Amino acid sequence: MNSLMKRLLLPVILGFLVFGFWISPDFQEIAAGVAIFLFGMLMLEDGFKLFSGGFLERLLERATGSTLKSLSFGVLTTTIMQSSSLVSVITISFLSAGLISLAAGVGIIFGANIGTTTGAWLVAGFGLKVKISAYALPMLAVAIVLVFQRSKYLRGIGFVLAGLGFLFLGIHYMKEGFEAFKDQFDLTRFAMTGLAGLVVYTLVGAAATVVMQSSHATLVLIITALAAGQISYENALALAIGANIGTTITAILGAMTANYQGRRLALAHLIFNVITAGVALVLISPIRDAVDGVSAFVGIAEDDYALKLAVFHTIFNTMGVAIMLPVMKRLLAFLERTIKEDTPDISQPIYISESIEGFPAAIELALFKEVGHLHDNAIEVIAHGLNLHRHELYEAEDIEAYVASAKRPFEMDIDEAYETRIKVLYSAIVEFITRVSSGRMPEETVNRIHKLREAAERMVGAVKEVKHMRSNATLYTSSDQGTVTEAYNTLRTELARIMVEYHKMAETEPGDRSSLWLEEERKRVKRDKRATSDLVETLIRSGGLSAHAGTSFSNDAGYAYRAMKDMLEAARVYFAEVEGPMKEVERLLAMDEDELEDDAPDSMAQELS
Amino acid sequence: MSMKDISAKLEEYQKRLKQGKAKKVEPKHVQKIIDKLTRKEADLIDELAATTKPGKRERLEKKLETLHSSRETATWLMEKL
Repeated sequence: MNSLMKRLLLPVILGFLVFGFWISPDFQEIAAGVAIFLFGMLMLEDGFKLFSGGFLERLLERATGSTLKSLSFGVLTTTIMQSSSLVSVITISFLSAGLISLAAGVGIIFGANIGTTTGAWLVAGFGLKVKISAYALPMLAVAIVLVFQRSKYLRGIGFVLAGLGFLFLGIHYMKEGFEAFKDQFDLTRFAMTGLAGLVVYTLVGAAATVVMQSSHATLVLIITALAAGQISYENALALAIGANIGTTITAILGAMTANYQGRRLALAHLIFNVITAGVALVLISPIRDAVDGVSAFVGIAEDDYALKLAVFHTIFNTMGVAIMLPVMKRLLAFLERTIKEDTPDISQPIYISESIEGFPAAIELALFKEVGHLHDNAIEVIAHGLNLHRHELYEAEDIEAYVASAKRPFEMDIDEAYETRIKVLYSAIVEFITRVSSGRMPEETVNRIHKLREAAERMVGAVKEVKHMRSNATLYTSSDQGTVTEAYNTLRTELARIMVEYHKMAETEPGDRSSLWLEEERKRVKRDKRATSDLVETLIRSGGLSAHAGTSFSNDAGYAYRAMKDMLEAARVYFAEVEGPMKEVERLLAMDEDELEDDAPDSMAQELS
Repeated sequence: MSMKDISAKLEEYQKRLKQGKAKKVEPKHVQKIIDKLTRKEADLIDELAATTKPGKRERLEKKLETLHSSRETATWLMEKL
């Protein structure tokens, strides 16, 4: 049913346009006006996206500390961007990435509904009273020069300017179209009065907004049609109410690819707009009186219906916020009850999703969390592969004694665990990185993303190495077989110690930890690896190990040391400083590979001596 | 890390800084790293005091030695900046 509607929508829209062009050339002008207006909005969106990765994200992170702050932020950003849809989509992406709370997200959406009313004022107060095409054309000419600049911020300004230019040009064409249309047709003949008019025009307003994906465009259309006398004031009010319902579709579409938090926010948006619309429809007469009162107070002419519509739009959206703010806690509880937190399928990505693409700060944060998720899965597979329980290991006072006591083979197929717990997730991370890397992003974000990919790759490498040694490690440590058991237990202990170090790093606050804490582990792995082959030869010669067991151990030690090195590198990259100068300090102080050599006695020789 | 190594790294960093390929490091940044190293050293000293097993003590002492060395290098670096 859904797909049938999707398939039918395009031919219906195209058919409607062709029919309109056939019956009226002036309809072409109106349709072109709407198209240019929407194109302007797309350019505005592209322009603002060029500023993301810095300004926008920093603002969003800092300006959502309280409900009032979030609300003000929603008003301000929507006023600047002139698109509540864009603000909603960005908010959903940041919420999905865990950058803001649900309460902050709901606050922003409430604010965006007030912010979007400035558009009506802009069009009614400015767009219809001056010849805005006179501003649009020079804006477009200047914009195109900026769009071809190398600096991304200049390009961003260019796109924003071009977007505004096209918005103005679109309004101009719609206005011209309706003026000419007036002479041919009188749409007011179709105007309906009473309840039927309210309901029908509300639905028309919602449908028009769903099709155009912009309440702004619908509102501009309503105001220009109203100014041209093509629709009655009453019907315009109902259309504006409908536009508020229709606009939620963008947030709903945006939330389809988002996680449960994004879906909760889209539902909040829908609830807010439907309740506001319902109350406005029920209280339409008193609101109309209030509009007349406010209009008379601020000096708006009795018959200036365009400006009165802007007053109406502001009053009913502000009223919606006034109604919903006191019940915000209940709304949040309802959202949490209705849309349950996804039970994470740990083999699938949890944080990365299409909804955050285009927003560098959200991408970086989501990837950091997703790689952490992969690391967690990987360490679990490694621990179980060595027949160790992570939680017992982390609590063990004496790691060596715990490992020696962990003899019971773990019931697992490590190949299957690798395929389901590691490979699926790793592939999703790599695919996501490849996809987002083709977009425009700040250099620092690109570098960080590459580092996170390296951290993922290294940890996957460690799992692969442990996979190779699992069967011998199980064979020789499930019962006491003398030297060979001790040798394998030493390898398991070394691997376990690195898992514990990783865990300690993960448990420490980011501001308190440093990847330099792992320098001694790096040195130890290097010297143990160097000494192991000599030791194996000595043990075979002395009869401590059979040639067969010695060869197996030698191969498995190779896998184990590579796994240790991979785990340490994964941890170093993952927990490294992110901020530029701090990153430099770590880089200066960290030892290079050749500096890791020292003359300390190796632990393997000590353990077996 | 030997003085030769850190001096060479510092020289390489200054070259990158001149080319605009590195962020400027100030003493306060090095101090933050020193604080993190000091915090870890303090934790390890506590752990060492509670440890009797010779093997584990040897490990902790080695780790402390390496951390101490990193901290000394960081202090030298802070003076040079």
